[in-house]
Amino acid sequence: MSDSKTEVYESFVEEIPADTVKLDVKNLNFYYGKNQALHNVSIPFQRQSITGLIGPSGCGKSTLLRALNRIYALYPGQRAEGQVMLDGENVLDRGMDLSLLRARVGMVFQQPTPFPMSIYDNVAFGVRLYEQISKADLDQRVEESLRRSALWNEVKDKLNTSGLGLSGGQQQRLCVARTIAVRPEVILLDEPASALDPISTAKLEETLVELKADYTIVIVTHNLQQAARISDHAAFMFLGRLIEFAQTAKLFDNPKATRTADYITGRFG
Amino acid sequence: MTALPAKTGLVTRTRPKGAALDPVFMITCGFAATLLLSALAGIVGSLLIGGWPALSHFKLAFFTSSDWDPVQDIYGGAGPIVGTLITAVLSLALALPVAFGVAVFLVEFCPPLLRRPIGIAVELLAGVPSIVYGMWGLFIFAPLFRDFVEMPLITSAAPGSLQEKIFSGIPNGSGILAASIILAVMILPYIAATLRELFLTVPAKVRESAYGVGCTTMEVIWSVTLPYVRRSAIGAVMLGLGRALGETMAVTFIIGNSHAFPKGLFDGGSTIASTIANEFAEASSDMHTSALIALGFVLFVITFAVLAIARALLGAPKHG
Amino acid sequence: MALLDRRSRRKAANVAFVAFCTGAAVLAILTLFAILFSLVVKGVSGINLDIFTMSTPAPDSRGGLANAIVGSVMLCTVAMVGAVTVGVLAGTFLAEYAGLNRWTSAYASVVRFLNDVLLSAPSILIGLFVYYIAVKPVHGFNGWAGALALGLIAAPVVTRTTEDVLKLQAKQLRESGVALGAPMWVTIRKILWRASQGGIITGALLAFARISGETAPLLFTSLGNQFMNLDMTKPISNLPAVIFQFGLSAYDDWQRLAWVGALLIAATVLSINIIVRVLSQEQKRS
Repeated sequence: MSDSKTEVYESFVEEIPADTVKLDVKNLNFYYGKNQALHNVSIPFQRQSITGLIGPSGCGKSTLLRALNRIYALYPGQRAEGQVMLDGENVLDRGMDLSLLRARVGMVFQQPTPFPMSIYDNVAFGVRLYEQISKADLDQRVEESLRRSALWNEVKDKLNTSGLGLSGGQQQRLCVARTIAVRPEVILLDEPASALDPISTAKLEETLVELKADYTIVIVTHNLQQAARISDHAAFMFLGRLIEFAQTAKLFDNPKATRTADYITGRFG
Repeated sequence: MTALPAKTGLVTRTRPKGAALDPVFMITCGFAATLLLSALAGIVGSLLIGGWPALSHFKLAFFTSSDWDPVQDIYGGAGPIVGTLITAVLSLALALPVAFGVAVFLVEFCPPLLRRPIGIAVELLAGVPSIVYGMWGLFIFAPLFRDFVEMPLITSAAPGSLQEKIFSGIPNGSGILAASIILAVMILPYIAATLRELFLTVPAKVRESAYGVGCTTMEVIWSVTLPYVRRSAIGAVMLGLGRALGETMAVTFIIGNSHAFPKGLFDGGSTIASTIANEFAEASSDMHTSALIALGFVLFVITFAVLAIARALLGAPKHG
Repeated sequence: MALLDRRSRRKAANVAFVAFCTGAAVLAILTLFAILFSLVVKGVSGINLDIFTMSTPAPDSRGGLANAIVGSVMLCTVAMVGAVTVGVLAGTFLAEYAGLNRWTSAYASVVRFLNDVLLSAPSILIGLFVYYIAVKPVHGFNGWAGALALGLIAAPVVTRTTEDVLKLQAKQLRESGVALGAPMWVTIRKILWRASQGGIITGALLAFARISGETAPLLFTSLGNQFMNLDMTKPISNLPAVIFQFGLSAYDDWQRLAWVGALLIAATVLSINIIVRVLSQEQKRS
């Protein structure tokens, strides 16, 4: 990739009204040890909407996502520079309380990862960390979260059975329920449907669209159709750089950058 | 779906309980790891300190003399040291071919119906405590060995012949060879189970393509399977050797417990471990105790070397 | 002709090879069955109620193994409590905290190596060490020393299995705990340990099986006791040491008791191994 330094990367970023921005990434650089994985990425995420991150593997879309809740801090040698402003507060600040940050910015992973405990305890796990609420309130919170993730009807009679006994699609919705039970403001999803069958995928997508009324949702996806179906804004990334960010319809129908056009027409990636 | 009210970000949260305990937990875990480390350091240290009086007093004679005399407080460890090495090597020589045969049989020839039960039986027997083998050796094996092996071999030997030399000793069913056989029986399931696991790691494709060019089973084993697992197989065998070296109970019952240099395969002998087991609790003097611990130190050095080689050969594939 | 000869020679060699392997298997299995058979025959005939109700006798008098059985259970239980505590924590350190920085990872590889050495060190040497730190200073054989020796044999096994099963857990399971904002140690305790429970229990059971038959390190730590004793600061009787003492004795009834003891130990160890097998089968299925 010797040409990547000399080549000029044009970046097309569509403005969105400042008062609708929930999470604002500014000049973000990310490093795995000595390798720079993100170059000067700036991107706004609008509240109450879904933003899709697309691009070929290794383009940095997952890395960007993992910078937003600082999950990367688990691994020594990984570091981020720049700003990730969450309602005007820089997530990357040293003084940021990571636990409270992660309560505000939830995350769902590629593989469904139910905890080895009952369905109820899975959902209650996060709530119990932060809040001391009565059993009745907790019951209500669990039910509400399971309803919102469209799982309640399937599990309401077996809340005390292990979460590991659910199907893959149900497990993934359980992970969504677990995340929203904490009442976060932002939900990050890292290719949440890549391990699921088409029917489970459709259910999950439906759930996400329902949820966006209340949350800022950022989803990394490999699947262009999925991004086109559910996201309001889309960002195309390439080689650790943001190439284009626009309303989904515009990005897909009328891309400004040739690379975006090449990618969405299937010329590479 | 029913519309639900917006419920975001409007809760009062406190920092999770115990968030500050992360370092404490980590240090606790590190402390536990350090305990293991210091246990090993303690073993080496105590053996060295405890054995030092004997080592410094007898110097090289401790390794070359087989004069072990608690009455006169003179201790030469050559008998047990050599006994340890001989029994370990002999038992390995006896167990290895059989274990190899068992492993090949299980992987290649065994009727599928028997494969699992036999495989499980072998693995289960690898876990039987050594004292059980010791009991069996003393009460069941020794009389049979005396009547059907020792007696005929000794009585049929011509005076002055090689046979007489090799098989000299008292035909009482115990001795160096008897102990080696019991040790062999004990490490056999262990080596067989490990070899079988190794053979199973050879990809079916590799073996099938050898069969495909017309190799017989033996040729497949010799020229495909064995080279494929060679390093780990040697490592596994070394681990078996390590077990035989340090084994105490299976040997103590049947080796005859004599500190003299064994003259023949049927002669009584001793190993380091059996000597310590027999004498430590009743050691007659400080020098006696020290000599026993010095023997322990020698045993540690030998087994450590064997283990280090085994580990180097086996590699550490599980740990990145 | 020559070609044919070569072929038939190869075939003959193979037949001999097959015969050798089959013979080896038959020999091995016959020997092993002979051991089990004599164990059962000699052991079962000696089993009666006295074994479980009476303490070890003087020669030529009535008695059983009750004190040794109780002693063994006590020693093993105390040893396992310690070994599981230390082993799980140490295994957690190796699996979860080794990657923290260069120092921890270097330290972890040293611990890992020494743990493997400890794992296969001759048990009698562990006994010598414990004699030095827990018998000599207090001028007397005692139960704590025996338990400590057994614990030192069991702990490396638990450490190793704990590390291995923790490393098998998906990275994303770890991350999902942390992504909810749970502190690392809460994630480890409530999620990773629980997810690894089956494997850790298996490791602990195997360690238990191993120490329940250990004899050598007990000979000069816990020693033995003719009487029923529940005081860990005094010598405590235990099955392996009784088997050793009685088996090598010249008295028929002592030898009979030794066989019963050997049968009890072997039966315990074999059943633990079978339980472990059933457990891990079930885990694979779920």
